[in-house]
Amino acid sequence: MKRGNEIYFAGLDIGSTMTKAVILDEGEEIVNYVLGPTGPEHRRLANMVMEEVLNKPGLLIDNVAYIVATGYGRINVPFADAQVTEITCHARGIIKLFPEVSTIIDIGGQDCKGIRVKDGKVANFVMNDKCAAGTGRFLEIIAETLGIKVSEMGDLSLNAKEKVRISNICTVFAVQEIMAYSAEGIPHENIVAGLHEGLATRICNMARRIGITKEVVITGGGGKNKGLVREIDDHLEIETLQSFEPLISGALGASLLAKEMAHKQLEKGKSLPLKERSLKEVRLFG
Amino acid sequence: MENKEEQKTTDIEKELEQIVREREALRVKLSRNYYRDEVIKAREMGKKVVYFPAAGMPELAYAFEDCVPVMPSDNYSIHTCVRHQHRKYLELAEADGMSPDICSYDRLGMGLMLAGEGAFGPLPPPDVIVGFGNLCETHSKYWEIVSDYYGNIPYFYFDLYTHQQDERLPDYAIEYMRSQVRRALNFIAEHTGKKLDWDRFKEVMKIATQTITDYWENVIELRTVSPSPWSTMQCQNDLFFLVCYSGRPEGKQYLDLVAKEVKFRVDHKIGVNPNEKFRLLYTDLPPWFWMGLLKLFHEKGGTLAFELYPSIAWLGVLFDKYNNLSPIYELDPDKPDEALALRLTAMLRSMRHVMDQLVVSTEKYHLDGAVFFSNRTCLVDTRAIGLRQRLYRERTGKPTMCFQGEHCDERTFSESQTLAKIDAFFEALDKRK
Repeated sequence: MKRGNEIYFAGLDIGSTMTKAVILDEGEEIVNYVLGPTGPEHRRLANMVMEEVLNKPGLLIDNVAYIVATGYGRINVPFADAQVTEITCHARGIIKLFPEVSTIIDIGGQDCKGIRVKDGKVANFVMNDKCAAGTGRFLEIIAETLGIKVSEMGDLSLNAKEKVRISNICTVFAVQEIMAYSAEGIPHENIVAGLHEGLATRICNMARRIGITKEVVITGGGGKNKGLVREIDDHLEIETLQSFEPLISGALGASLLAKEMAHKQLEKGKSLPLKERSLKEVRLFG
Repeated sequence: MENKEEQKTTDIEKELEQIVREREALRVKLSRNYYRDEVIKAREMGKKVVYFPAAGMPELAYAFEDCVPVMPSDNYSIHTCVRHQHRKYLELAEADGMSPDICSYDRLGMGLMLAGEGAFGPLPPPDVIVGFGNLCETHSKYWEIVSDYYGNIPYFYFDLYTHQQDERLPDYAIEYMRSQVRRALNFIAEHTGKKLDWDRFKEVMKIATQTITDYWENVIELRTVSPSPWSTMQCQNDLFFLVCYSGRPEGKQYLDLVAKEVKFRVDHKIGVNPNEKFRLLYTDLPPWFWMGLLKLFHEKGGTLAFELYPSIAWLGVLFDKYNNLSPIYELDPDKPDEALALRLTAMLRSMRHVMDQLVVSTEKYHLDGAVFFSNRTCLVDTRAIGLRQRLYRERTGKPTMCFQGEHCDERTFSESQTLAKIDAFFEALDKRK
């Protein structure tokens, strides 16, 4: 639990596309964080990411007092002390980074959320329905179609002279449209810019259901896409905010909640960690 | 002393078990009898079959001797869906050209009709159809298709004043609705060859009105207490008796047993959910393909303590009366045609009125928040789902959550997203406590 006088907390966010881990100290400073792609074996990945995030600062799993898992794979983290949804964790993480936040737009790998924050709590939230058309997965599919990297799409679209209109909200049909534009010789930057515009409209319309008021923070992988962020800013007619690493908001929130929960346990007179932990024993497939 | 207390608790538990057993036995018996013994065998028993939407007017068939009311789209679809037999029939209807964007009750009903199958067997073809647009205007077209499919079956469209009724209906409107009831009865008589017996209709309506009044007073009104003595899931089970057995003594007999159990639970403070921490409002149909979803709310500590169906939508006329929400109508047993028309009219009022009903429920039943279901192919309910949630939050200050899907089709439902939403909703509720 302690290394010298230090006490640590961990947040692990297993998203549909990326897994993120954050180690926090008692002063709520980030000691280390890591990002990695989510594969099919959540349990194994959780171990690997946890090992990696502990490795650089020279910590052991026993140095961590409390661990909160979040994201859609949160139930597959056997060494976690608690599971909290990504909605609560994103809000907690963003409130820490931007105390003035009122609206959070999280653009994740396979879902997209709007979170309304009031008095430091989640006041309301909305999530996309069973469709990938407003999510990071949509961008991945289009990037594949165009033969470019997702990480290049943001900068590429900023060079667009004009934007094509993507009329279809279905990913499959949008791919067909894009292939047709590509065959016509329309530059990729114009296609991607049009794509970002369509995506921004869809995301903003969803988020409007909970009411959008300043400050607005974009988090998740979409927050790293400059072209998409610019389209959202244009659509909302405001300048949204992004953190230094939009992907870790959920894991950061989870680590902050881990600290709160740990202190509650200590107040109850319990000693931490609550349970014996071993990263090896849960390597089910390794 | 301690032993005596323990003995007393055990005796109470045993008594409750006995009450539950008695009620459950009748529920199973009546549910089975209705479809297996009455509906499916109607033709071979020489009875006439009248198709209705499950919008609550089987009394029009029960007014005649040897006439059986059948609700093929909504009610039989539900029975097929809760048994997880629905997928094949949805696909059959879609293969026949029906768009997957059409109401899954109607798609399922169509598939069952095309296949000539169903949860308890094939439904008998209709002799008469009485359509109704109270809960869904598009349903009128569905009945036309059913009529054509079976060979131009006589079809009566039951016309009522259904919207913008924040004020009391004028006398001429009430008279028009009474005439609709009488016309429907005459239509059934003409096309079944059965004689209309007004006294029989009066008796049927007397039982129906007494049944829902007793159910309201002895079940719904008692649900204000904590822990909740009856839940939304149980009320949705009761809905079968309100829909299919309305006007029959057996239906009243069952709902009286429900009342007995509810009173016992209230007297002994035994809730239906031992984990009750929050009390929630449920505002739509359940996803019939996964009834476990509603149970999940209970497991997480949120009792579904009040609901739109049946307490507002089906029993709206009583909701308004017992909550003093204007316009208030009395159901006069001496005017059975008027009683039926007014009951049907008050089923689903203007959105403004329904909002008032949701707000009143939240206060009266001490609810902590509301669960909405964006039911993708229900064009009536889902159209204003965002606005309804916003108005609800503004007027009550309570949180809401909304999951997406479809009442009888799981293909548009995302389990992981829905579970994340439910968890987040409970986290928000926890923070408020």
